[in-house]
Amino acid sequence: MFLRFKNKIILFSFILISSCVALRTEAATLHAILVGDSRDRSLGTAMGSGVDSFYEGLKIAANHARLDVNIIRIVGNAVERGRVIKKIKDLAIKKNDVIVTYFAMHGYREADKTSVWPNLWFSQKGNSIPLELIIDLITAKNARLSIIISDSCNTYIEDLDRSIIDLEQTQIMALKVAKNNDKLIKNNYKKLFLDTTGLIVASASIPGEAAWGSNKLGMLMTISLLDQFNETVQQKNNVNWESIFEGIEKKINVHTERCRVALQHPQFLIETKILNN
Amino acid sequence: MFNKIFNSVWTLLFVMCVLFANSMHSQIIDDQNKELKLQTLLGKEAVDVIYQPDSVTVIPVKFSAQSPAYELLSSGNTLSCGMQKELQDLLLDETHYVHELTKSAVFLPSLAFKFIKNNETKALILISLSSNQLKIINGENSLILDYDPAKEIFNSYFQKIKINYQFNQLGS
Repeated sequence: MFLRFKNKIILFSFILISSCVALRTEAATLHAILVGDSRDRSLGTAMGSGVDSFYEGLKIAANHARLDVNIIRIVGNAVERGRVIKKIKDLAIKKNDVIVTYFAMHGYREADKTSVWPNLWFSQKGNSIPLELIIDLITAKNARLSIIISDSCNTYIEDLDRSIIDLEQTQIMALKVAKNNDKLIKNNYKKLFLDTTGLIVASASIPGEAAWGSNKLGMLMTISLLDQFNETVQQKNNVNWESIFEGIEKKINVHTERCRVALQHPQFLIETKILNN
Repeated sequence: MFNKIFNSVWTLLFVMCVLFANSMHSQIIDDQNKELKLQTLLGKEAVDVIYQPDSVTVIPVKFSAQSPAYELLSSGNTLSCGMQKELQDLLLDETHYVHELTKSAVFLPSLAFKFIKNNETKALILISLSSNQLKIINGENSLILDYDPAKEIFNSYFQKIKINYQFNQLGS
C-alpha cells in the first residue's frame, strides 16, 4: 500500500519536474531587428542613438517580462537592403515569441502609392523597401506579438525621381528600470510583452508628411515613444499599446511647434488582445 | 518768448537724434545677430562664398547611387545679375531655414548652383525639390538645410529658373 503510494508520489514529482523543465526550455523569446542609418550626415547620430535606445530598452523589457532575448543591431555600413531582408527571413520564431523591428532611416512615398506606409531608403546603394514588405515578412512568422516601427519621413517624391530609385517590389534614452520591489512596473512590462498577442505597425508620419529629428535631440518619434512608454509602465490603469501610441503625437509636436515646422502626425495600426484577462 | 520756442525746438531735435541713434544701434545689433545666426547655421566660409562670388552657374542634376550621389547633366548656364542677387538673398536669410531640426526625407537633387570665384568652384549647392532641402558642399564639408519656412519663395524662384533656362527635367 505504502509502496504504491510512494510510487505515485515519485511519478507525480517526475511529471511536475518534467513540466517545469519543458516550460523553461520553451520560454518565449523577444527577437528584435534594429536598423539605423548612422552613416547619414544630417541625422546619423540621431538614427544611431535611436537604435541604441531601443537596444537597451528591449533588454530591460525582456528582463522584466522574463523573456529570452535575440537582438540584432544593423547600423553604419551594414545597413543594406539585402542584409535586412535576410536577417528577417532567418529569424527562427516559435509561436509564443515576440518580434520587434525598428527602422530609423530616411523614407519617402510615390504620388500614387495606395498604402499609408512609407518606403524605407537605404542610402548606401540608393535603394529601398516598402514598409508593407517588412509587415508581410514579419506577419508570416506568426509570432505571438509583432511590433514594426519606422521613424521615417513619408513625404512625396517627384515623379521624375521614381525611375532612379530601385524599390524592392514585393542621446540614449533608457526605459524605466524596475527596482526589485517595484511589482507594478514589472507587471506592466509583462502585460505589454508577455500577455499581449497581435500586430502593431507604426510609422512616424502620415502620407505627405515629414518626420523630424536632430543629432542633438534624436528622432522625435523615437524619443517620444520611449518617453511615453516610460510613463505608461508606471501607471496603475490603462496600460496597453494603444495608450502608448496615442500619447506620442503630443510629445512630438512640443518640439515641432517650438522649432516652427509643420506638425508631425504619427500613424499606427494596433490589432492586439490581452491574454489571460 | 522767442527763447522759449528756440529751446523747445532744440530739445525736440535732441530727443529725435537720441531716438534715431538708438534705433540705428538696435538695427545694427539686429543685423549682427542675424549675421551670427546665419554663420552658425551655414558656416562662415560658406556665407563668405555665397556673399561674393564672381559668378554663379545653374546646372540640372540627377541623383546617382554612386558617390558623390549626384550627376551633373550639363555644363549649365551662368545666372544673370538679377537672378544671382535673388538667389543670394534667398540663401543668406537665416529666417528661411528650419533651426534645430531636420527631416528624415530622401535627398534627391535635381538642381545645382556652382559658386565660382577666381575661376574655381568654391561651393556647390544642391537642391532637392521634393524634400524642400538644400545641401551646401564646401570642400570636404557638406550640410543639409530644410528651407520649409520659405518654401513658396524658393519654389517660385526654381520655377523661374526652369522657365528662363529651359530645364524641363525639373518637376512642376
